[in-house]
Formats: sequence, C-alpha cells, structure tokens
Amino acid sequence: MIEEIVISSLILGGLYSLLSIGFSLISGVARIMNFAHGAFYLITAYLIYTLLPLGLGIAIIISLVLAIFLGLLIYRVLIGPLREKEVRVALVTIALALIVQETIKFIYGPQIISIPILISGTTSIWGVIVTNQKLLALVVAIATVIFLWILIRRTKRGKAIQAVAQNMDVARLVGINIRSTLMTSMAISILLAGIAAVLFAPTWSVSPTEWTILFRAFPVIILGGMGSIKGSFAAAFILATVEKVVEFTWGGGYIVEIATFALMITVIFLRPQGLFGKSIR
Amino acid sequence: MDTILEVKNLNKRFGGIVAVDNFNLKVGRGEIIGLVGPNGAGKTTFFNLLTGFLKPDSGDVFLKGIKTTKLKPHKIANLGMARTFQIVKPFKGMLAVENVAVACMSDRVRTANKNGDDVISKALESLRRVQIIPPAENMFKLASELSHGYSKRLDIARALALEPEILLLDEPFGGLGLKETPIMQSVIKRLHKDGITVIIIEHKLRELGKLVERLVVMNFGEKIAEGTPREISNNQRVCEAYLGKEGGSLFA
Amino acid sequence: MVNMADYIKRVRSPRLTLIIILLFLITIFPIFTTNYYVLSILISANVFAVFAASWDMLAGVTGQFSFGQALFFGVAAYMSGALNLFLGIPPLLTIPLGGAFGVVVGFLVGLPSLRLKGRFFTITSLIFPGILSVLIVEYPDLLGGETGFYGLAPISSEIWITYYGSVILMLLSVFILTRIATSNIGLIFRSIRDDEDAAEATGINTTKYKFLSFAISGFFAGIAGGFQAHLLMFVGPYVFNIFYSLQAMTIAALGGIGTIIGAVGGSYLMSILNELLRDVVSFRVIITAIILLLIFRFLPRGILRTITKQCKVPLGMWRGLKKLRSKEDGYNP
Repeated sequence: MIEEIVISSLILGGLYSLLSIGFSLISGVARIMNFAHGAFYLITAYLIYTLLPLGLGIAIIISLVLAIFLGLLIYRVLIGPLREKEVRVALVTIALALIVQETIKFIYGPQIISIPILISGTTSIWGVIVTNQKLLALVVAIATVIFLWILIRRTKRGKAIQAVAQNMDVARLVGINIRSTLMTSMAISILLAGIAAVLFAPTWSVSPTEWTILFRAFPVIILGGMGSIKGSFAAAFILATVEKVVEFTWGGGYIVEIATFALMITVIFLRPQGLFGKSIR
Repeated sequence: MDTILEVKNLNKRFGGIVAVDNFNLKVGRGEIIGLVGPNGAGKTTFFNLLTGFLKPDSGDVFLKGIKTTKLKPHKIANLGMARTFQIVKPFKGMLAVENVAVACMSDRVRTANKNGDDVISKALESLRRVQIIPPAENMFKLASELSHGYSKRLDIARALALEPEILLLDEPFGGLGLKETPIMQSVIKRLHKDGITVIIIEHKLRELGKLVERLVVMNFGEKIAEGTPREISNNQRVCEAYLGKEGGSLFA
Repeated sequence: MVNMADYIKRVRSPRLTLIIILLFLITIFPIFTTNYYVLSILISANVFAVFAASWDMLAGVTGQFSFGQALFFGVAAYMSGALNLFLGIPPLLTIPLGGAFGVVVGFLVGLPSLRLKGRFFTITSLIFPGILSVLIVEYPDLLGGETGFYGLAPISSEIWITYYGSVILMLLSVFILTRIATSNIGLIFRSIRDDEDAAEATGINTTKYKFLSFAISGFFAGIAGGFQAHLLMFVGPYVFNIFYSLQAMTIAALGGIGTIIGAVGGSYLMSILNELLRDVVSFRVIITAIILLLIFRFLPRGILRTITKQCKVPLGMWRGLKKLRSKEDGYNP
C-alpha cells in the first residue's frame, strides 16, 4: 500500500507542479492572477482532440503552438493593458475561462472526451502496476521543471524574468525589456499548462469544465508561496502526498478535499507566506 | 526637558542587510529635529519601526513613557505619534476634506472630542493649517487630482487632524518646486510653534537647516553624529558620508 | 470652480425626484400585469440586487475583493431552508435568521483576510464555497446532498405579495447599505479600500472595520440567500456555485463598483439582458462572462460611474459633507 501511495503521489505531484508553477510564474512576474490558466490546459486538450486526424505528434505540436499564440494574443489585448491591477485581471480572466468553457461546450458538447495516450502498456514498480503513460507524464513533468529551473537561473532571459519578478522598476532602469520579458513568461506559463494537458489529460477526463483543475493547484500555491518555483515544486508533491495518504487511508472524495482545505487554512494562519515564499504582507 | 520619545538600542536587519544598527535617540517635547543621511541609510526604516509598520529585531521605543515597540500602527497613532510618507499615500478615491476627516474617526480624536465639535470644522481647520484652503475649492478636489505640492501637504493635514503630540515627516520637501517650498517651510514652522514635536527626514539640507534645532545623522543604519546644524556641517565623518573624502560644506 | 452651495445641494440626493418616480412605478407595477413570469423576473432582480449590493459594500466600498460571496448566500439559504423545513419556522423569521448566519460566515471569511493580502486572499475566497459544496454533496443525510431539499414554504401563495416582499427587501437593504456607505463608517471603509496602511497610520483599526464590513456584507447576502431559498422553495449545492459570486460581481460592476445603488440598476439590466436572450438558456453564463470581461477590461467603474463622470456630478459619498452649511465654511476668516 505504501508503494501505491508513493507512486500515485509522485504522479499527482507531477501534475500539480506543472500547474502551480505555470500559475506562479506569471503571477510573480506580471503580478496578476491568471484564472484562465486552467483554460489553456483545456484549450490544448481540445485542440489535440480536434487535430488528431493529422497524427498525434503533429496534433500536439500544433496545439501547443496555437495555445501559446492564442494566449499571447489574449495577454496583449485583455490582460497586459491592465498592468498590475490584480482584481481586474482576476475578474477578466475568470470571465475568460467561462467564455472558453461555454464556447467549447457549444462546439463540442458537454460530454467528456478523451485524448489518446502517448505510450501504452504498463510497468510494474515495487509490485505496483502503473500505466506507462503516467510514468512518462511524471518523468517529463519533472524534466520540464528542471529544464525550466535551468532556464530561469542560467540564461539571460531567465535572469531577466527573475529581475522583473523582484522589482519591475529597477529592471526597467537597467535596461531590461519588460514587455518582452512578460510575454516570454506568459508563453512559458501557457506552455507548462499545455504540457500538463499533453501528459496528464489522457489519463484524466476532459470536459468543458476542466479548466477548474487550476483550483486544485491553489492549495499548492498557498502552501508553497507565490512566485517561488522551488516552493511550488516542493509543495506540489507534499500536497499530492497528503491527498493520497488521506485517500488511501480513509477513502476518496470529500475527505480528501477537507484535508487539503484544513492544511491550507493551517498554513494561512501559521505561515501566510507559504513554505518558501517571501513575506507577502 | 520633558522627553516625549525615547529610542533604545533599536535593531533591524533584512536578511544580510543591517537597516538600523543599535540606534539610540532622545527627543524632548517641542523640539524640531532633522534626521539626515545618505540614501539607504535607514531613515524611513527607522520611521517604520517607530510607527509600528515594522517590528524591530531588538530594542524598544517609548512614547511619552509608554512602550510602543510592538504595538500596531493605529494604536501608536492614537497615542499621539503621527506620520507622513516619503511617497505620498493619499486616499485617492476620496475628496481632500474626506481624507482629513478620516483622522477624525480615530479613537484619539473621538475621545478628545466629547463636546461634539463637528468633524467637518476640524477637517477644515487642518486643511487651513497646511494652507490647502483657501481657496475653498481644494477641499472638494479628489486626492488624486491634487498637484504634488498640495498632495504633500494633504498628507500632513491628515496626520495633523489626529492632533498628534509628535509628528514624523518623511521628506516633506521632496519634489517641491520653487513656489511650494516656502509654503511648506511656513507650514512646518507654524506646527512647531503650535507646540508639536517634529522629526523631519529630509535630503534638502538647506531647507532643513533653516528649520531644525538639532540634527541627527544616520549612515548604514547607525547614528554617526548629532548636534546643531553648524556642528554637523563641520563634522568630518558626516561630510565624508555625504561628499566623500574631499569634504565641502553641506549647507552651502 | 465649484460653487459651494451648488456642491452641497448635489451631495444631498440629487436624484430624489427620480427615485420617487421609480418608487411609484415599482409600486403600481403589479396592477398592470399579474403575469407570473414577468413578476418573477422582477422578484429575482430584486433579490440579486441585494446580493450584489452586499458584495459591493465589501469590495467596492471596503476594497476586500472576495470571490466567495456565494458562500454567505449559500449558507444562509441552507440555514433558512433547514429552519423552515425541520423546525417549521416561517419565512418571515428564517430570512433574517439566514442573515444572522451570513454574519457568522462573514466573520469566518474575514479571518483569513487578515493574514493574507491581495492575491492570496482572492484565491482563498474562491475555494471556500467549493469546499462547502463538496461537504454537502458528500453528507446527503444531513443536508440533502446533491439534490438538496425541497418543500420549503413559499414567501406567499400570491405572487404579487411575494413581489412586494421582494421590493421591500430590496428597498430596505439598499437604503440601509447606502446609509452605511455614506456614514462615517463608510468613510472609514473607503479609506481602507484606498490605502490600508495609510488608514492604519491615521489611527484606524483596520482589522476591526474589515470584520465589520464582512459582517455587514454577510448579513445582506444572507437575507438575499434566505429569500431565494423560499422563493424557489428549494435549496441545493447550486447556491455555492462560483457563478453566483460572479453574477453578484458583474451586477455590481455594471452599475458601478462602490456605489451600492448601482447594484439595483445593474440587476435590472442583467435581467433584461437575460430575457432578451432567453431562448438559448445556456447563453446566460456566457453573457454574464462576456459582460464581466468587457466591463472590467474597459469600464471598470461601471456604467453609472462613467455616466455621472461625464456629467461631472459627484456621487456625493460622505454624509458629513452636508455639514458645510454656509459659504463661510472654508473661506479664510
């Protein structure tokens, strides 16, 4: 049983880390809350579904590109001009998410769709049978985060992102192109959501309301502290483990949500900045 | 002299940076003091520590003999220590007169006001003291519509409406032009005459020199000198801090 | 140049005549149509006006942008329903009791707002209702689970009585909320909205007043929820749907965030819009969403504010300004 918990925690953690880091990234850099983040997960999934006749590989690539393009367009028109007015952006993006939801419902209908897995078969680890898709998802998710980490820490662009996240005015003063940095961050954010869709959507259900998957990542963000990749990464796996432990011990469903909620409330009161966040008061 | 404010061994670090280093200060009632130092010396941090916006790592602050070190900002304000901010913080969506009236909602003004002086006249009085009115239209201007000079004085008016015993002004002359500077001068002089103890953080040393009796100089978080403007301008260490080893006169 | 007397006049209800006309219209309306459908739309509009106004007080006036207004609404709805169904308490009492529950929930939601600022609070407020919804769905024995519980007593068997009931609810609520918003407390609330730190520095106990705002908001959202429960004679987890929170926000935004009274106009406008497109029911969500998006992207101050700004009429906020009696005030003696 422990093995099952460990493995399923890891896999869930992989999903959570992609979602939360994606959200945290743009949140920390642009100081906004993009509630439509989950919508990009959704859009990517549905795009893949639509473009399947072209072959899975091509569908994936085109979908990711389209999603990023669409996202950047949305950013240019709807979000960017609002600068850092968090509340307005939050509302605009929620509205956007709903619009996406309804549009997809209109085009594809409300039923659940499935997108194909990338790799079939199962493997046995420590006596637990895991689908290869899920293993692949975990591995790629972790690899993506590591890759992102290196990108942020080592490259010029990455450092620009860090600078803007820390102090936009000073970054501007030292000559960093804020606009392009914001766009880059947005693109990365969407890409993360898209990758999450490619990896995990095949193992999950996908329906027009699936953009709310983002909300499952919120406790992670609170736990890990906003704008901290390390924090989100660690918190993702911690939370996933807590969820799985509760699920396996007391059964799934509501008790898991309550446990998550309780954990979140505790963190809020004891350490509002999360495990790794800087003080946000 | 009656000590109104006493700071004992105040310390504050942010990670590896020492913002306030073993700071000690005694301020007598009715004094007008300047707090100066190069940028980043820790002056505003000091104000934040005094007014409860930051908690010190160690040390204490005593206001009128009461320990205010760990109190919340509104409590300290209600005890009689009011402040302005380096970058003005008006209530942007409210009229000038409304901005000041908020102070009249504080416990301090409420309890002192048992005979029911109405809030509006108190607010207007405060606006008069900082010379925002006359002209009367100004009271109806949205705080966001006020020019910089007025904005700075609105901040003061709001602090004044609290009827403080000690007022902390953070760069009141910041960004003021030729016309506005003397107005600010006369406003502050008047406040001092009214008996309010004033501590001013300022970079414009010339303006400060005309106002204050005593200067306290800060650098890298510690007090490096204290004395009359004349003494300070001749202080070697201070000159070095500001001007480098070549020296020169600070109050030229 | 503002003429003092002129301004003072404007601070006093400039729209008094308009309001009287509206009141008259509202009162005689049922005489012209006892059409059940039309009346029920208006009733709903009134309930949502109160709901939106409650959010406006919290967000527009005090600056606490909670996304979980549905929580107050929902808890009150359930409590009102439960009190009525299981204890036989009549709607006339359960509705204000629902409001009381709303106050309690208000306090509970207010607590995290103290520890969290901005983004974090918004996120948390979003999740609150969801949790409750989950709890209820999973505990069917206690509160009816996913299907909720039926059989609540209606407000009245006559639609026109219910209509007047909703009108009274709306008028009373909006009146009280407006009185609060224009009072000294409202002044304090707005100072917290505009700059919480500056408010603290000005001697305001922001914690106390934030809680007060949550309590007030919770109360009115609660009575709206209670009324709704008895209107539909049914409560279910749908009340916690984020969509309700968003509707409150959209309506408030339509009318003008921070005006309280804008919520009324916004609510009626929304109702009209929904009716114009009633053929395709699913459009309700997307319409609300599009409006929300457009308003917050382009017209964040809402329609009412934008219009009045054009006319340069200040929506006189603080009643204290009326004390400016004569021309002498403010002139240099």
